[in-house]
Amino acid sequence: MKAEFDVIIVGGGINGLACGCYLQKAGLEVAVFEKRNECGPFALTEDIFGGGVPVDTHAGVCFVVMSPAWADLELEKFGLDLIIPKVPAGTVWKDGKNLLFSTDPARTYEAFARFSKKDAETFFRAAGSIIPQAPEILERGVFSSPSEENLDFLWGMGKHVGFSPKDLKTMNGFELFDLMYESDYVRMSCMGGSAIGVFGDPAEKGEGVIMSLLGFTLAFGVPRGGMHNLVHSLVRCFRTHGGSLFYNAPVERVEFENGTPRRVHLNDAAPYPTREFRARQAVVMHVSPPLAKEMLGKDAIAPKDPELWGKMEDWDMTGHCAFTSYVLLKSRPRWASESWDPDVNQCAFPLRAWDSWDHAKRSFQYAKNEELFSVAGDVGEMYNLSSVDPTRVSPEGRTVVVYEVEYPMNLRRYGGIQAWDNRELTDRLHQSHMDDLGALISGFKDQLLAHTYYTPIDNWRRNPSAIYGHELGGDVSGGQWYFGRIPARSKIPGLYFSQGIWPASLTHLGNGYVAACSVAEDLGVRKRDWWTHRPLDYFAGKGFLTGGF
Amino acid sequence: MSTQDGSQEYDALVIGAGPNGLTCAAYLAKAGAKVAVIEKNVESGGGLLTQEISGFKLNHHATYMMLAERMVPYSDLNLADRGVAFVRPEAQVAFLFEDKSSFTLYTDVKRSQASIAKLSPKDAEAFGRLHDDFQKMCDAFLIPATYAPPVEPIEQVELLQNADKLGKVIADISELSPLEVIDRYKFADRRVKAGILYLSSMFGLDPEESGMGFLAPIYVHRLTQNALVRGGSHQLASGLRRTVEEFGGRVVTNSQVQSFVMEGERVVGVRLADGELRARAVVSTLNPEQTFVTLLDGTHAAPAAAGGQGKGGIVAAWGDEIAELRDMASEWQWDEWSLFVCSSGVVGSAPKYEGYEDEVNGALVVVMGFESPEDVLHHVSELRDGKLPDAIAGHGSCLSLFDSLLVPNHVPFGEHHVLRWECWAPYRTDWEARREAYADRCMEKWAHYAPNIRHANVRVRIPWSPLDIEREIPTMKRGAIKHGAYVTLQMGYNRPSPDCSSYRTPVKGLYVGGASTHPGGMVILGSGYNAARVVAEDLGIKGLPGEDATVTEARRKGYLPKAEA
Repeated sequence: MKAEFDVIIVGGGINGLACGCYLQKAGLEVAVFEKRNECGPFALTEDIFGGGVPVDTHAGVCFVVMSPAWADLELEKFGLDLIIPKVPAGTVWKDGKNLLFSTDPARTYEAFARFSKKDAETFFRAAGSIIPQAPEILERGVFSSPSEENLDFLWGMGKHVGFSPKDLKTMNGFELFDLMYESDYVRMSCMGGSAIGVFGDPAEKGEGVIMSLLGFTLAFGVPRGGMHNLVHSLVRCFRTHGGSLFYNAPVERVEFENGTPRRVHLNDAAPYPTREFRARQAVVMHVSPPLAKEMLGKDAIAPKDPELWGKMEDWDMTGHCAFTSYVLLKSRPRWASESWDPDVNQCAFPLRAWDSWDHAKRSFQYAKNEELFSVAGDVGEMYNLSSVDPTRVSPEGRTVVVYEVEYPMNLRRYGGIQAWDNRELTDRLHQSHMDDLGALISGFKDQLLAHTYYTPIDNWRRNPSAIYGHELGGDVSGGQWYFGRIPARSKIPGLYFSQGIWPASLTHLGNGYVAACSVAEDLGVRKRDWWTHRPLDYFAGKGFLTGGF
Repeated sequence: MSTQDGSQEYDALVIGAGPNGLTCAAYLAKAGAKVAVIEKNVESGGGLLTQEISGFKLNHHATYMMLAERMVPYSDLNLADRGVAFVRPEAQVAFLFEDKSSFTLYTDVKRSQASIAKLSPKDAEAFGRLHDDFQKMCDAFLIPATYAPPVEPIEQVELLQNADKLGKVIADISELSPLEVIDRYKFADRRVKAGILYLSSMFGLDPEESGMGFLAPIYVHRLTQNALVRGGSHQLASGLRRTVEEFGGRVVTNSQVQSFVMEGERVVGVRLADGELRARAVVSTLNPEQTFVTLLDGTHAAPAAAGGQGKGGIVAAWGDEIAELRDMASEWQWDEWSLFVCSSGVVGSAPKYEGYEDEVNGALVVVMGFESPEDVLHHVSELRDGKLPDAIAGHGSCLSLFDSLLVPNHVPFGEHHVLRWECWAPYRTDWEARREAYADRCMEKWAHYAPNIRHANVRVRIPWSPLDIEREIPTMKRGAIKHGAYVTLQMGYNRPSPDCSSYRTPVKGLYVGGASTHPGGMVILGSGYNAARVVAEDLGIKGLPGEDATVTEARRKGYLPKAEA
């Protein structure tokens, strides 16, 4: 079997694969080593109820439409069929109201105006100013390594909403929306989007506003048949270009020669006759920093790059985490707020975002204090993908609604993180989610056929990199925001990272892209006519992002 | 994307990416042929299906690999190099009884005898004789015959009768039922006999079916040599698929063959939803009904303009042969009963069988609920009537004790285990409504013996009924795990029919190679292996490995015809 490659990627998550696809397509010989049976531990589709409904148990919507990778890697050709919902997102409240975002701007304007005409106009002014610049914002803010120049550009985003860079650096998401809007519903809806986002903590100064403004540039599709088709398309792309993929191949350590990483060793669990593989040019670590630290070892890193070693040692894998409840329903759900706006039944990705603006502020504080039951079900994302994808309906007409709720990860009051395995505690949280869904979905009790949930520890069980269940390879705020992240290109020649870097892992494949750019530039292989797309280009070319704003 | 990229002209197209389809394609691709495998499901592997949920790897179907490294393709195709490895626990099967007695069978016959001797020293001796006899039969003839085309029954019996003493014994027991074969060893203790009888019929073989006696040695012998595929059963399919792809073959998943493409009287390709693929040979690993009714009907119905025969075309061309194939397929006897499996991923300790000897805690398979041979036979008779058995009986395995890759071993909080319950179950259309409650009963039965599993934190539980088998793996109609019952008229030279058991069919260009051909199911890769050799011969493809030495030896001893047919 082949045991020598130009580039070895440790970890077959979607971003590790995306990095592999770029480099292999650019003419390098690449191998990806994945510990599990399959790639993409957080982009998976499982029939968890055994009832013929494919359920995306983690990532539910696919942000790859924002990404250069969608077109560069020809993911459509490799089987990724993305449905663009007419009503992609929205917020639903227990008092029967909702606020929906539609691809038709006139509908969105109308939805905002029902709460406040002034807010509708503010939103449209901001969107009208930001969206034409969205490709550049994403290119510099998401699909690039951090730089002073790019960060200045991000602070400059304040101009779209009437603030100076200095204002932005000293305010948080709450202040921003307090000042921008007058309706609490509009504020909650926008803040809800930021709260589940991944570019920083919306309640922190500076990063909170960047997080909130980047929200204007987000776009997504729903993979027909399930999120696992994103993984399938990447695997097919990688293999078609000649890449080598090793499943069940846990990497034990990376060894260095003359100061550069050259040999990757699999542990005894790997069923391959060869356990040592050589990397001629580069090793990309697509595992969370604490795992990378174990594999690389102090001797190789600390003397050469003490700052990197320090970051890996102190890396914080806590922060907020996702606890997900799943319900199997007899048919497609109808939302209690359909009398406010019936389009809610077509909404792919409705949010639950508190009951009042004060509640939102209190809830953030409770979360920071790790007061679990004070925040149960306060803010979360719901996936109602059967509303847009007919394959998510079983032959008997059944559907699944997924409710992913954000919680503080540390449970020091309950005996530590392992309390996430305490059934008594998690059953109570799940019950509160069921109560929320009962208040939001019409006839919920009669519709309900089965339900189950996954805790953060379950997320860790499925993804070895997600220590404690952290979805993003560690906290993305404070000291781990932007410049505080692991660099994609380390100071050690040939050693690269694609997790723990900027941007955080998401289905936009941004961190795989950034890592691939660094490797390709260093190895002089980014001279290809296909590696040219800008963020959102292809999406815009399909007729989205055009009208109204 | 199935018909789009690349050339559409192949040497061979294989329908179905199950173990046999992949084996057949791997041999042909390795020999240099241009091959594609077409699979309906999103994943390849067929019954070799491992679903990872929340880090727990659950084999919903095939789990116990009865030949493992002894499968000829394992060495021919260097599957070890492609990540396929087996784990073979020493303590293979434990049998538990209500009075807290038990016995355990090991890979080492001496240890098995020592365990049986505690119940009955006489039966320990009988088991020793049975084991030696069965092992000789398996080594000399029964296993080698797996990797050779079947021989016409009268000729096969003649060969065995005229060979040596062992050949005569095999010929004699072939007439009997598994129960009669076991009776020859005169087990005195009801518990020991119940255990051996359960082993002989563990995968849906009827212990009272005459003419199936030769399967008793195979089943009993193999079930004391069981192995797991490391990392989950699907690893075997992945290794085969990697072999196909490494040698330039394609595996097209998520693509259903709708009909054959005919030119005159010859099958020259297959039609998919988005176009045609053409080949010199088409090998179907589907069941007879799918191959000879559904696909031939589809071909028959396709308009002539689309490359089909037009209405009546095929039947007019060779009416009698097609009609015979259709008759055979529509009279095909499905397995009389199937399996109910309940897999769970738990945080908690491994099953501890309270009050039993410690040796049973380490056994791969733990059989519960059969106190006597009558229990086994009664259970079978209930199944024959399509009834759910009154009393739950079956076996449990804590697979993670033997393969730590099956659990999320990176999570330090608590012990993680995969528990697999398996029992016989009839095919019923009402499984949808019964599945969960039945799984509860099964797990309660298991907990009756191992009470500690009640306290586990069950993170994942997926019950699989015969209806789920049929839905997920449509070749297994009515949950038929072997693609069709093991009865005299459907074995060997008669599988699926004398016309097709050479892997060639009366339709030119069309071959068969799935579990509905000799040697049948159970992940032994024999059908795919044998079919590949026949296709290679017809297409003039050189470069397949030579016949396996054990087969050549069986020929030399006269158990099989002198030269390969």
